[in-house]
Amino acid sequence: MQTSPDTDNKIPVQTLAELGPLPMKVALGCSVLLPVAFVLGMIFTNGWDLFAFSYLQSTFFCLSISLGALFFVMIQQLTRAGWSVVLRRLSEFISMGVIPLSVLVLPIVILTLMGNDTLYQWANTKTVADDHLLHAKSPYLNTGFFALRYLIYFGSWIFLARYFLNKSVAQDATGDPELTLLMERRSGPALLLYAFTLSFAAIDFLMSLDAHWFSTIFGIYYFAAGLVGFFSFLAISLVYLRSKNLLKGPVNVEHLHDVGKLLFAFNCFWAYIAISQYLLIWYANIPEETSFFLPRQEQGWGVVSLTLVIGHFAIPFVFFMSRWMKRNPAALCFWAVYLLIMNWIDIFWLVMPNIAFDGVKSAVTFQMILINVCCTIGVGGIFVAGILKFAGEKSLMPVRDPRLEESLKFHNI
Amino acid sequence: MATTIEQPEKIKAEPQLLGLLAEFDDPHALIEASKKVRDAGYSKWDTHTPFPLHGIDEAMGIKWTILPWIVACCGLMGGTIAVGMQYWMNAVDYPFIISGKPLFSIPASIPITFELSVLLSAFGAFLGMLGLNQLPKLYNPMFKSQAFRRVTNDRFFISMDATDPKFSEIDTGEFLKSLNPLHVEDFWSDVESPKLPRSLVLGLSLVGVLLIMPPALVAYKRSTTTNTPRIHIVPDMDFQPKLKTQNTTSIFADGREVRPHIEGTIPRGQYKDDNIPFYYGLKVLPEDQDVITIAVQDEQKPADEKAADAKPADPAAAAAEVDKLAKLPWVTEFPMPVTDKMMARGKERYRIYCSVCHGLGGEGDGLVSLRAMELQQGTWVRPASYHTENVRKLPVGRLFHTISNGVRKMPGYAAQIPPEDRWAIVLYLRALQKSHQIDAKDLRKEEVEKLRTTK
Repeated sequence: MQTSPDTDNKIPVQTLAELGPLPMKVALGCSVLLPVAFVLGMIFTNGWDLFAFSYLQSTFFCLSISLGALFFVMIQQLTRAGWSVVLRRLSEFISMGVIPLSVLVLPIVILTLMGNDTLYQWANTKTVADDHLLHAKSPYLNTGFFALRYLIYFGSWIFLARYFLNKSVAQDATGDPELTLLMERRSGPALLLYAFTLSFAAIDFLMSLDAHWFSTIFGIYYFAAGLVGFFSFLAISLVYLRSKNLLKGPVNVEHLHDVGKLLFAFNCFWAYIAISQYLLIWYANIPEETSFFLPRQEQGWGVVSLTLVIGHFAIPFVFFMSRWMKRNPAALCFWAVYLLIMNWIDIFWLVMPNIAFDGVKSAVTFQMILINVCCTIGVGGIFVAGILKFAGEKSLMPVRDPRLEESLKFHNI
Repeated sequence: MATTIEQPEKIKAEPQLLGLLAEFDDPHALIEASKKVRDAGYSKWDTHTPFPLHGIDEAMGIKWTILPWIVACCGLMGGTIAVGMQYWMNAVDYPFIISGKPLFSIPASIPITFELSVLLSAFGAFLGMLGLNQLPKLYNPMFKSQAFRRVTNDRFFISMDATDPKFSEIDTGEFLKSLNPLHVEDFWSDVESPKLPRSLVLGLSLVGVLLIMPPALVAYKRSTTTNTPRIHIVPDMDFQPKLKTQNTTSIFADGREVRPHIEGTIPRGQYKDDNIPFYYGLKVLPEDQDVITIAVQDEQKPADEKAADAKPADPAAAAAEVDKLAKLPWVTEFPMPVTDKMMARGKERYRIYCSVCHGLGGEGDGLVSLRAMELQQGTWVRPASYHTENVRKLPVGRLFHTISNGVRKMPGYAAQIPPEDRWAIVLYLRALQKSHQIDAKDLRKEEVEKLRTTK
């Protein structure tokens, strides 16, 4: 392992606090839209359902970004990656978003625990008793066990995010290379824990919205979606921070290029997973499996599905493949924003078609989109405010990481 | 030495100046020099280094490669070929409905399209790279320079091509010297090809001769006849010292390898006379044993066959067979105990073997039949419905006989279905017939209600 004793002399410690109070104010300002969405939900007909589903969509959209960050942090430690050290602290901050989200998801869990079946039909004991399949699944899908698993999932994620951030911050003070070795050793089992908790959380919170349906690839689908979201978020953050003269020296165009490559790669991975899920179900044509895709082709959802196929895969695949697109900060930022929106549509498409009023699946409506956008901006504001709060006065870069030198000199061939 | 003057131009071509070579011992010096050459406006020149140098592309002003476009074109071509091929094969050339899917659909085509796009992209990348780099190139006149040998070790070179419009031997030489190289030298085209080493010529000739030998042998063998058996490289138990059907042998007097039954014996498993109703569907075996295995052959002629070609005896023979079968002493009761289990078995077997033609309800509307009708197959005879008066009146033994030996286009199923299962199918068939005959008054109230609500 390379160590460079004079590294900390050269690198000035920068923190997110240098951005001033404006980002926090903007984030908190955005969060006002969450109550607005709630009020809109009270006004519109069937608005409570719309709000509940939108709220779930918004929290799990933000959660996917944080979980992507957590994965990135752990995989960088596991593979002893050198290039990414300058980006790692920012990723660690983003992964801390699981803490505000754990609070935001809590109302969903409590309402479900109280037997409210707005979101999850299996929470209603009467429905379960009448439905053979739900009854068979009830040993797993029941409110008590659901709440317990919520504790396990969010407990694990908060623990992992805090662990990797705290060890990394501790190294800023001591410069002890042992901490890097420790994180390397821990990241293997941590990734296993992460893989299981993420897959099952996706199954519990999103897939069980349609409890009759199941897909064995669903956990990976949510994971792929999350990584697209995270790399978009990371790219946007980096371009923004560089424009504010933060990390401008350490993070150069080579790092942006690699973030762009990973964003592109995981976008293709998402498409691969999505087509894998679709193709098997399309081929088998079993009624209980097609029940997922059929409503997503009717009542306006077909347009959303096609938007995903063309907008989420085809267009970025053709235009974002070029090298210069990833090396030009403005172009990279454009594609990151674009793919973040596509990722939002993806989660929207996963969650919202499950709304049924009196057994009739709902069409895409203006009210639905309005409430959902307000809700996402509101939850996103709280999410970003949480990240800024946890980032606080901590350095924006692991200034005494033993591989920092390697990262600073990183160069794509 | 007067003779040497006679063919001067053929032997001695004038060597041409191909370019100049400047040697450096430091990558940074090379990059600095490259920038100056670039700025001087030369277009045909190159640098040679022992390892990839960061920044040399910019220093040389090399334009970004067009390879991605070649790869993209090849990939698109692969995708187009894949989609076109699948469309042609599945929807045009051999349309065949598989599990109710459309003949051509995008989701089913995606894996092949993906594979072929990737394959052709890879070809495009590999061959395009070779083509753009003008590879493979085994020899370059620069190789004659002693100094240039260190290019794979620790030296860095700039080569200026003489075909460059700005090139002039003196000016370019001066210019190169101004870049502070270790030294500058020129390189010339070859007057004569360098001689190949004797051993290499010998070895290559030998390999060539060896390569020609197998095809030559094959050609020879294919064009001549021989009495000896062909060479069998991997025998794979192809030759076994055993007797087979349809062959001759000298062991037996009659020369047949397959032996006729020995009189007064019964092959193992073939004795059925102890339960004639069960195995034949008959109360007793008739005098004429051949009727046991006959089936009523097609009475319908294919539409395209002319009446003159039809053998006049055929309808008569068929009628005679019908008569013969009708007179046999068929059993009217099941020769085995009728149970629920047997009914379930019969239903299962019926759905496996019979329903594809006869339909799940026995109305002759199975999928195969429907498709044959749709395609207007001339030779297809629509299977009879079980619910006609004639079929309903047939004794169970006769139905059993039909399953065993077939009727019209239907082949005998004795080889596929064991007798127990054939009886079970007959039982289920009877149940199907009964289901079409039942009077609503005989049903219980709940059953009527259930039938009403079932969609």
